[in-house]
Amino acid sequence: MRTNKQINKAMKLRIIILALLSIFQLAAFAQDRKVSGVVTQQSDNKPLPGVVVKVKGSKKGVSTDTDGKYVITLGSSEDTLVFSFIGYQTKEQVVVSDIQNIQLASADNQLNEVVVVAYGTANKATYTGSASVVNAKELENRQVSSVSRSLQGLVPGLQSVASAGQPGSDATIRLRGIGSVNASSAPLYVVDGVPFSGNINSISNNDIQSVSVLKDASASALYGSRGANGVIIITTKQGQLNSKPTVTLNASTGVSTRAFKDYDYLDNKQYFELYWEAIRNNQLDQGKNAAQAAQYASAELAGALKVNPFGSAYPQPVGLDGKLVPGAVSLWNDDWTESLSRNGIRTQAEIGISGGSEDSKYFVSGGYLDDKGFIVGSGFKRYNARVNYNTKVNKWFEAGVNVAANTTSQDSPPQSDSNQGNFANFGRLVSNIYPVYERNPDGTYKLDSNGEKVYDFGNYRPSAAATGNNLLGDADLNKYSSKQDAVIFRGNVQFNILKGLKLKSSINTDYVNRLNHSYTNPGFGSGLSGKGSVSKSSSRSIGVTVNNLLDYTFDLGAQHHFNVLAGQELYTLNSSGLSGSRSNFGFQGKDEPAAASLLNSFTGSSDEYKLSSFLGKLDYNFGQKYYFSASFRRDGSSRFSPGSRWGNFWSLGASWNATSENFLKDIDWLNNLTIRTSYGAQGNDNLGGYYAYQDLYSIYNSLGEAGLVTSRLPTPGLKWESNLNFNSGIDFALFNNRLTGTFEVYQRRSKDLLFSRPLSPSLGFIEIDDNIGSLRNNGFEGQINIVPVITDDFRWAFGLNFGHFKNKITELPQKEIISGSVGQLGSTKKLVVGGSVYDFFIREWAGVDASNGKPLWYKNTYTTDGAGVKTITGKTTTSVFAEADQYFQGSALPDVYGGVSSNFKYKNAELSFLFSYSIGGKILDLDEVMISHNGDNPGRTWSKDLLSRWTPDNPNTDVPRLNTQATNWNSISTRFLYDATYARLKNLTLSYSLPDQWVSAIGFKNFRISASGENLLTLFGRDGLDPEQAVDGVTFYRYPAQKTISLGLNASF
Amino acid sequence: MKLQKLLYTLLFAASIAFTGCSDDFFDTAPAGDLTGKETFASTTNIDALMNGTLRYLMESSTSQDNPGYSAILLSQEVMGDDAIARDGVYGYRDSYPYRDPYDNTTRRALFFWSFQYKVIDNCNNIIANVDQASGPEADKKYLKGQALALRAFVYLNLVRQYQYTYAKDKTAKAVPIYTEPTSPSSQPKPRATVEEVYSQIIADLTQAETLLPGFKRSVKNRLDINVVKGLFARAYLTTEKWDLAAAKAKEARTGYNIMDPAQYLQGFNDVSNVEWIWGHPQKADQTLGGASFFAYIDVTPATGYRSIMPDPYFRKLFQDQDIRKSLFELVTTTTDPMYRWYKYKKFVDKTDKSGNIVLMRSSEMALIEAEGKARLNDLPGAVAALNEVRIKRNLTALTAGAYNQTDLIEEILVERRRELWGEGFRLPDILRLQRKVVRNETTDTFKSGAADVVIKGHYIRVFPDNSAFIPNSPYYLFSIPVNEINTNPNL
Repeated sequence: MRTNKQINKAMKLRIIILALLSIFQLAAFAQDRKVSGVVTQQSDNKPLPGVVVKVKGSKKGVSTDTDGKYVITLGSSEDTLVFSFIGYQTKEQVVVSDIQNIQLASADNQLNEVVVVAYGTANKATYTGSASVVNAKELENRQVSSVSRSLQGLVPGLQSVASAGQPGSDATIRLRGIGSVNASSAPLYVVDGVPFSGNINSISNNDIQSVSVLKDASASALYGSRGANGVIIITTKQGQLNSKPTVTLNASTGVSTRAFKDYDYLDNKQYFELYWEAIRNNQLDQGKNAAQAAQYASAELAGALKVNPFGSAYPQPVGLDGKLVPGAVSLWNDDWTESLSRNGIRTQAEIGISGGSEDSKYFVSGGYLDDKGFIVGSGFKRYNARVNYNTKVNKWFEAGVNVAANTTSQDSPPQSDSNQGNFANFGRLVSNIYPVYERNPDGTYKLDSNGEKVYDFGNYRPSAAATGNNLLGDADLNKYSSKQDAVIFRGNVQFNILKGLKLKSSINTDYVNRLNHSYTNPGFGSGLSGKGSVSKSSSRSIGVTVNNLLDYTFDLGAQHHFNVLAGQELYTLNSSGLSGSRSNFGFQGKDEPAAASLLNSFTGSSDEYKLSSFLGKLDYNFGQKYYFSASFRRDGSSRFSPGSRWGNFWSLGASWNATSENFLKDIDWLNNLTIRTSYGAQGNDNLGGYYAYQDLYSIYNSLGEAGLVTSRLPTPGLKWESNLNFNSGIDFALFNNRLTGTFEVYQRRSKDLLFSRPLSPSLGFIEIDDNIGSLRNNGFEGQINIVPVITDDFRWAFGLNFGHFKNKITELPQKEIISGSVGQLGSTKKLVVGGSVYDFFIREWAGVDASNGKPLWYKNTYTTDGAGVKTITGKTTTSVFAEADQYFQGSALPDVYGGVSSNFKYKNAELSFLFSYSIGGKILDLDEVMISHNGDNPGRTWSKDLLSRWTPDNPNTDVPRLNTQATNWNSISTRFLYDATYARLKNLTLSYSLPDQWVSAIGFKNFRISASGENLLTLFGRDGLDPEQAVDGVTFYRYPAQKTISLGLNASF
Repeated sequence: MKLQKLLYTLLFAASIAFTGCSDDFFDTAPAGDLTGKETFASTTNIDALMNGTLRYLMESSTSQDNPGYSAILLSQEVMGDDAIARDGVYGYRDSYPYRDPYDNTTRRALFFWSFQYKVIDNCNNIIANVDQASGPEADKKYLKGQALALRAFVYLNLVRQYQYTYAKDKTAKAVPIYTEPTSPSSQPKPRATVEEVYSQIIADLTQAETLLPGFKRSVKNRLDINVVKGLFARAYLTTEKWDLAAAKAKEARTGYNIMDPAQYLQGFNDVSNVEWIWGHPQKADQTLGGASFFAYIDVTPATGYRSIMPDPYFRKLFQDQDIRKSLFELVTTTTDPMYRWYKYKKFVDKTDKSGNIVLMRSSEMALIEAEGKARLNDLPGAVAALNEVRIKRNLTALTAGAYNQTDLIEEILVERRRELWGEGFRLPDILRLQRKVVRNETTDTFKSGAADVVIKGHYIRVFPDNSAFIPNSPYYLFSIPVNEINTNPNL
């Protein structure tokens, strides 16, 4: 074992020498001259603030002030200035006089961008890796409360599914296909250079300068064991050196409603007639004749449904003919779905101040967001504040700190699962035959002593219609709140040891404190039997990242340029929580545990996760034409056993900037052409738990004594899942950068998949964690941006991006693995070699038996030879669901997905839109399953489709005969599998900037008003179903997407 | 000064870099688990494994309608003829018409199979490891005895749930037998025959019987020597070893008197009941609350599922003076969700919802003894055992001469129905006796004003394929779940 001391001594000596050398270096400047000027925009000659002005061949740089002015000092040997600004073409200018005014042309070209990449920045045009960038401009109009939701349609190869409309909820993101089966396929989020351990919804869109999406090995291998599913780097705004303070104000307010129409339901008359038929049919099955059965149905109907909306004048509202008796009229026509919806108000206001002196820069912001969802009781509130400050203390020491503090409060009533408390699904549970408010037998409202209507909690309703529950009735009384306080701290120091050699050290913490409070009132609804209940939980998590990186940039001769990065990083995540619940409240209106008399549970736990890493990177370029990069990272993780704890990750990449070649330099119409390729390995250790190798026995105390029960089989050899990524791409810019694009092909191979291998339940365990199998994603993706029209007054830009991949399982430990289990409804997928992770494997609907109305599914027919070997000979049908065979029925994964955007600018007005689209793939509509029972769920909402049920007069249909006993027709089958192709207008914004003379008259720099809409239009083949569902293509009664229309203003002074 | 700071920073950086290499740095342990090594270090910890396993048996659940072992008890009731899963309410409405667990794709089919086998694996772990643990030898003996008895209990359930009875065909394939703890390399086993499973049960009970004398349990959910004898009695009754059944039943109830009539009305909710040989106490902080055994079978609260109702024909099995008949109550209030049903108020939950669950009573043992003796034509012996139950239910004692053997056996079988309703015996008895379920539509009415209102009873009187009930129907059996079929090539 080496001792730390020895190493420290050796290092100490080396550092002293380096430091001394650097001091000599600094003394070498002499004979300066000052150059100044104004930088303006080529199109309209307006001054451009914030342009970075650098002296070529040196590190010196300033930025232009609010009037576009700059002053810079050149050394005697220096004669060229480089002007760069995001969104504009970089310009080099040989200094000919002391006043040097410059015009910059708008880039319309993402290739010239500086992109934030792993542990540094890179020039997009020469970067060897695959990175896509989303800039502040593309985020500013979005009326969504988590940045994860604004990436959809903007980044090629990024599949984002906002599977819940709940304000503040995050979208599921998949980059370049599915990299894992059981371990997480989610990308790593990095905030201001460091892996982020908080909630992404705590960061305001307006604080974000750019989002870089790293997709290949060259880009993300430096994140080693966490980079396998891609990396999303969020960089927050910074001030600019030498700029006066600028204040930016953003405010918007809008209204949110349901984004698309719900399913159609039966009305009360139809419901009663159909349920009569279900009862009648069941009686026939029990052996009664038609007359007896009809009589029974008429007599028992109201009793079976436990309600009679036709009033006491019609005790048997449906006659022996199965029709509503003449004269009967439903005394109420309530609508549960409607009554649980509202117009949600969304309000956002933010202020930012940024500026900088010669050696320090700052960005300070504060914001407020109140996003109320369209479902009663749902909402998200956020208060956020940020200070980003960087300073250059002297020539050799720089320091910076980013501190963001925010507090969020989310009210999210239950909104997924088949649970009765699910607000999004309640209207699909409780049919509209039941009144929302209590009614008198004559249909009038029952009023309480204050003359108010009284919510009808329906203790009389059958179980299938949420007995004793009225979510509207107790929405105001109950509580589903989660509050979160977070502090994101990024602190770094940089020592400029020698010219080109820097030591960067940083310490970073993500601190999150969560408090969940849910309360069910004792007086009404589901809390009634336990006299109310409350559960409260608190958790604290702190992720700490410490790293030290040496960065050395140097040239050998004129053509060989090097950058070497080497360093070390430690990451620890500590999370600790406690929770408790009590019930039995003695009082209404008190919702804290202190007021409840019975302790139900109290528990607490903590977890620790540690990662230690060493990393290095080499970038080399020859004459700014040929670029090579190599990176390496070694990670040790506490998740695995000492024997398999360490893993190595690496990448190699190369790019060729063809336009730098002499033979292409003179082609006018070709502005840029870069070809690049990379290969490398990243890892994935995220299989959920933190203790993935031991045999574990869960502590399961019982009756006040210690208890244990088996929970996990040992897997000492368990290790990383690794991803081998190949990427090759071409970037081009043509016709004065008016046509730019990128096209890439890739292959991602995941091996040693972290897998929960299913075991036979008779072994006492249903699964064991294992490294088995491999996956492959082959795909391509691209992006094209065109500016078809550009005149002095009008500019039209158009962008299109697309991604395609094929996911294929290349190796499995066993012939097949059934997966994709959905709650109580069974499995939906099967994994086989050659198939994909999300191939539906379900029963195949064969329609309704025209002779008896029974549902039919397919099953195999066999012949058995002499040796007892069975051979499938064909298919036949069966009306017994369990006998039906399962078949592959296509994949949930789309063929092509991406976005289309366009921007029209006429003088001061601007119109932009963004469509996201997804073509191909299947979706299994389990929401429809809920409302498609054959009569076995009395009182549950019924789809209008039931009107076409089988009857002897209507034998050819796909809705079977009604019956009060289950027939399984609404079990999982292709009956409910649909094409998932859709397109959605994610955003449409119309804005107008007030003319400069007006604006400056009131002392402003800029004043813009805008109207914007989110999810205004959904193009999809199914009514009622939200096409944006989970990546696996299975719906589960989620909060549907919401549409938000808002007005905003944006001003700066 | 600045240089010094720089050096300190570098030193700090370097020292961090090297702390990240040692194995100590990575030492983490879960807060809620013990490793196998820790678990099997001492008899105290193994006792905790026994305790946790019993809780798992009784309280693990996959959904509201599967509250641990009591889900099996309730299914076995509604799949018979004396109990009905009330229409329109959640719970057992798919078991009552023989849709689950017959359908091997249902969650109930999966639950019944997998949770029982998990209990077996826990027992196997105790049996395999207890001898090497530190702790008193006596404790090792008792722990092993309990694990063997519990394993026998589960296999006895399985063999009667997944195959027809022993007397029908003892060579039929029943369920796989595992006697070793599962390890990562374990292979799933083939189905053993009914006879092999019974041999395992008898072997386990025989060994447990030698280990458990002297074991004084502090909680009645532990399996002691009386429970072992009771399990013997159940096993011998099914395998029709009448003499052994009667003898073991008698031994099992030694020390457990049959409760007095008044106590029968106290709600069957407390293990302190004199005649409970085995039962599971509950505590308010760990019951399954609104989805527990009592939530389904206790029909007395104002809200809740209250799913399990008696058949009106079942009521006719009681004589008027029978204390048990006083538990019936007809609901005539139109606004009551149970309107027109009889309630049978045998089970009443405790106010804090911690009603205890009965697993073995001396009345059952007396009836096994009576049946065993009757089958052996020891009619006086049989009547004596039967009368022990009868007189405690306010019935007159029978005289041996009043019945021939066949009639007496029938009387004892009817007594089992009267006495053990709601405790999960009905379906196993139908299978054991190779009889068919009998369900008839009620014609009984009550007066509501001038009108005659029909009382509610059986509403499903045919199998799902509309065929008539028959003996030994596959609809009476639990299905091996599709998950097992897919993953066990040896089955």
